[in-house]
Amino acid sequence: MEIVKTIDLKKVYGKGENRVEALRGINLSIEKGEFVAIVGPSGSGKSTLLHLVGGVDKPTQGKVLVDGEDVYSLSESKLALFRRRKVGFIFQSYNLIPVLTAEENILLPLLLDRREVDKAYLNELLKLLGLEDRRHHLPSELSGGQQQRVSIGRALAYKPSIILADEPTGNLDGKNGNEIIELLKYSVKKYHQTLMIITHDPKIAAQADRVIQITDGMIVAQEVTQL
Amino acid sequence: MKSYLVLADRFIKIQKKRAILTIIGIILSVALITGTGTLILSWQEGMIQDAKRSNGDYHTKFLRVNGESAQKILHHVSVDNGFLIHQDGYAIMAHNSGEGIQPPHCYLSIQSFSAEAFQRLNVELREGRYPQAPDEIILDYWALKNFPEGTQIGDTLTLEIGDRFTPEGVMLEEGTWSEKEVFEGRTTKTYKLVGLVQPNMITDWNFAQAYSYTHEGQLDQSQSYDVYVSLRSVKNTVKDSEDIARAADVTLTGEEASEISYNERVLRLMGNSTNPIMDKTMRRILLIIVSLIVVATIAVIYNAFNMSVIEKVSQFGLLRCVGATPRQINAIVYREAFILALIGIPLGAFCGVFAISILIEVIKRIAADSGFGNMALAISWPVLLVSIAIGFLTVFLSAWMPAKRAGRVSPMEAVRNTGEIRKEKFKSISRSRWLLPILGPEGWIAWKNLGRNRKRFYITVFSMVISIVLFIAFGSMVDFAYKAEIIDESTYPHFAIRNKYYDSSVKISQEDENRMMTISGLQTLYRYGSTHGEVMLDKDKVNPDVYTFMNQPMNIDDEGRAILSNSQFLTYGNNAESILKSYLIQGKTDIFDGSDRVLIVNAGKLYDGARNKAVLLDVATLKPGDKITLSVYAEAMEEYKEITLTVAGVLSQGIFGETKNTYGGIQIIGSEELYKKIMGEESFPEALFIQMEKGADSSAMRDYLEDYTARNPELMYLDYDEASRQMENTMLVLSIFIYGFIAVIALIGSVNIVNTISTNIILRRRELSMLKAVGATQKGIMRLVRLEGLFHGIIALIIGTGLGCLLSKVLYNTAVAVEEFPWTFPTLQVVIAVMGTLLITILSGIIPLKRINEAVIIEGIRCEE
Repeated sequence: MEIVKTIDLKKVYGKGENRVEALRGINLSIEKGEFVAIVGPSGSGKSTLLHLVGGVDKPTQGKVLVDGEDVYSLSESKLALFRRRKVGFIFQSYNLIPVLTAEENILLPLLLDRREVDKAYLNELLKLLGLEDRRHHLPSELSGGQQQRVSIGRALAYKPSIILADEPTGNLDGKNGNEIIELLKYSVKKYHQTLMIITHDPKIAAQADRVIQITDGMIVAQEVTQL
Repeated sequence: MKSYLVLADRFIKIQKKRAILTIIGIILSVALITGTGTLILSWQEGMIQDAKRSNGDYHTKFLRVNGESAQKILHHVSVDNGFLIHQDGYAIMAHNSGEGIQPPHCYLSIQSFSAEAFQRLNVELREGRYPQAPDEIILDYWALKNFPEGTQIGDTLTLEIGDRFTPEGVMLEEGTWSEKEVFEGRTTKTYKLVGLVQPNMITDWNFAQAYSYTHEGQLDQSQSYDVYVSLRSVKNTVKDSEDIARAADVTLTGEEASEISYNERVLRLMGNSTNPIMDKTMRRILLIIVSLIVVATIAVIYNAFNMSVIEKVSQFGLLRCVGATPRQINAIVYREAFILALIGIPLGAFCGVFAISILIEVIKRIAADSGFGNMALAISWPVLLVSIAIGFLTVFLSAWMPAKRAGRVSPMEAVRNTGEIRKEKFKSISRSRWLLPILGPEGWIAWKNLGRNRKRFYITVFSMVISIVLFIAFGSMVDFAYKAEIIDESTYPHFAIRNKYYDSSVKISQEDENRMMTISGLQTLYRYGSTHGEVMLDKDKVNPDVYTFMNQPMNIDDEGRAILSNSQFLTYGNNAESILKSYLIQGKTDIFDGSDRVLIVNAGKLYDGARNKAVLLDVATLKPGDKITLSVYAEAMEEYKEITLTVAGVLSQGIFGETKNTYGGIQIIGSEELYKKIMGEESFPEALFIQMEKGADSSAMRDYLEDYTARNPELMYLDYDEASRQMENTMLVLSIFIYGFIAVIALIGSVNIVNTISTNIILRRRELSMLKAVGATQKGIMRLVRLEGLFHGIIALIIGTGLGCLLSKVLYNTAVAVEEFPWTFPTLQVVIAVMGTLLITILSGIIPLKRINEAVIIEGIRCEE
């Protein structure tokens, strides 16, 4: 079943001399439960694609369909709900809310929805993330790897159908990086989620179901690695 | 790039918006200081002009000195210039009928002025010219009707001049008269009438003023003169004046002694009152105002600067990375400060002066008639220089701390890409979650955000507190000024018609009254009645202090109620609702249905002889719904009446000159029907008050009244027109000044709050975008920002209102040295401050939020602060 579809997706930044075409017509279809790695040189438009799929940027042209719904035709508040419930974002620089504890950061999407917290799931998640004894610490009291794990926790908290990870291991050492990927894979499998991950690490890309290579804002190659 | 310092210029160019905001802060602050200085000077000059106009243009007058001394005084080295007056005496114009209480004759009161005296004492010509020779005369225009029909300018008048004596042979002075007085002529003199005078107000038709001429060079040694002088310096007015008197052989003791008196109002405005307490008080109050403004100013500029440095922390970190020393970073910040100061300060000084010059121009247009009409812009170099100096000092003081901070930025700050997190201390953030269900998720985060950066929190709250304190303190000081009658609000009707003999009511037919109503320019006709009486009320509702000051015990009746004699029962007819409403402080003015509901005035004014100052206090503490008993003698019915009345509303003061209760009584104002019911139809109305439209021409009304009183000789009209209009204009100008000043203070406060809150938001753009990325709605973010502003506002309000009231009390303690009145909690100011602050804190998030909302989320997340 197709969950994400982009149609002739284009994104242009700047005007005149500064005009940069970040995406130049991306047509992409991703199946539910698929693990997709996006690779490509710096500035090729990988992040822009991910942001557009996640509803945090606006396309210059084209459409993003998630579950058949045109994301950018949604009203501002529906779009917020989309980001809150459907998508889990993981950024390279963790982007945690500094005044909230690890646990609170993880629960943030739920808190925004004023939803009851599923204690059992939370504990499971914290255990999975290895943050059980760090749950009441503020981001400033956590190491980089721990902060990134919190941000993964936040992305998983709502059990969203799509997880978008932008170089989640970019700021981490090898050991920490591997742990994070394992964690994501585990979650995706368990909750039948779709994962799009941007990475420079061939080892990570090798674990994906499909690798999409982007250069100069266009998909230049798609390679199915596992079936 | 010549030097690393050029970086400062680049920073300004890159952060244009921030630079502009900082410059606006500097401009506003410098403009406020310059404007205040210029305004105070211009206002002082205007007030002096106004005071000179109403009180005369002189500093000291020496009364009853002989010709020789007069010459010596005028030529004394300390005297800048002067003029003199000779009291010539009285001349009979007409004889009164002998009915009622009045002097037996109508008189001309004749004085001879030296040339300058006419202008300096503001004798206003209606037509003709001032006298230039001792045999020329001018008189109040209305006095002509007492001379043979057809008398006009150019005619000669022969007058028998003399003095008035009581039957016991005591000479009557100006302003006093007796029913049985005797006129004794001294000499007969023939004058040529050269002009007619427009008096400021006409309240006594038995005395008209006449002015002749006396030459300063030809004084009669046997005569006594009043000499008015302006001194070269007013620093030691009393001592200088006494020296002059001594040098001029003026005797100040014994019978027939001369007397020195001072033009207190003018001297006070020049900052040299003869009363040292008054002087000290004025100076202290001024000092407090100016320092408040300076503190507010520093807060604004410091804030703006601090924000601009905070925004550049990572860039300073980068500079440190490539080897800049803290000192070099300091230099960059100072250079930036200097450039901004160089742009902002001159602009600010210019704007300040420019704004005041516009204000003065406006005032001149709308209030040409008042003393402010000849007010001029007082551009003072000291004021400008001091403002500029304060501006520079403030900018550098403001840059000092941020520069130090910039120098301390560690190179790591730039390298770390984790954003803001490491820069702030989060130890103090509350980790409890109990507020979450109350405030909602956004409100809860907003609450937690308060603790994240102590310093910024303090600065934000401090700048709000300053604005709140300034507003409350200044606002309550204006209140004091009104209460202490430093700003006198009493007004008179433009015209009044009453019985000549004050012993009967005005008998005007309904037709005549209706006709009067149609005369152009008339705004309202009030039917006035008043009587004195006693009021009985619960003695707990009487202020016991009244009896301490009056030095007598409280009167208690058989039922144990307090008796307030010296109370007044009044009515202004049934057209008075709107004017009464404007003074209403409690309850309603719904008294015009003929019921026993009345309005009362609690406020009183007593004189504390022991301490030689006036005391303002509430005589009673009556509230709407209270019952009081009025006891009066109804002359028309020849019986005593006692009636129970219900208080409908409380007024802050009475109207038409009867502002405050004296001698410990209260004022009761009822409807026309109630008055007639108690006092009888016969005695009503006692007078008619005529209020003219603003700016309307009064000549039609004056002609009509002139004609009407000629046809009804038992009636007379009083003409307050000129004085009332001047008063109204003066009040208008004062309001413009006061509210203008308050508006500027409010503006400065608002800019400060907007600046702080918007910067707080801009600085956290990334974080807010982050919240949106994980699914916070636009509304949610808005809620967060608003609540954060609101929390700051509430904390600032708690501190600010407390401090503001405290400062109000301090100012009160300073002011009370001059006149005593009770301190009241500045409720109105506090309410306005609370509403204003909350509104501004909520509104100030709008623009930066819009910026965040318009931008796509990912730009916000990417943005590097």
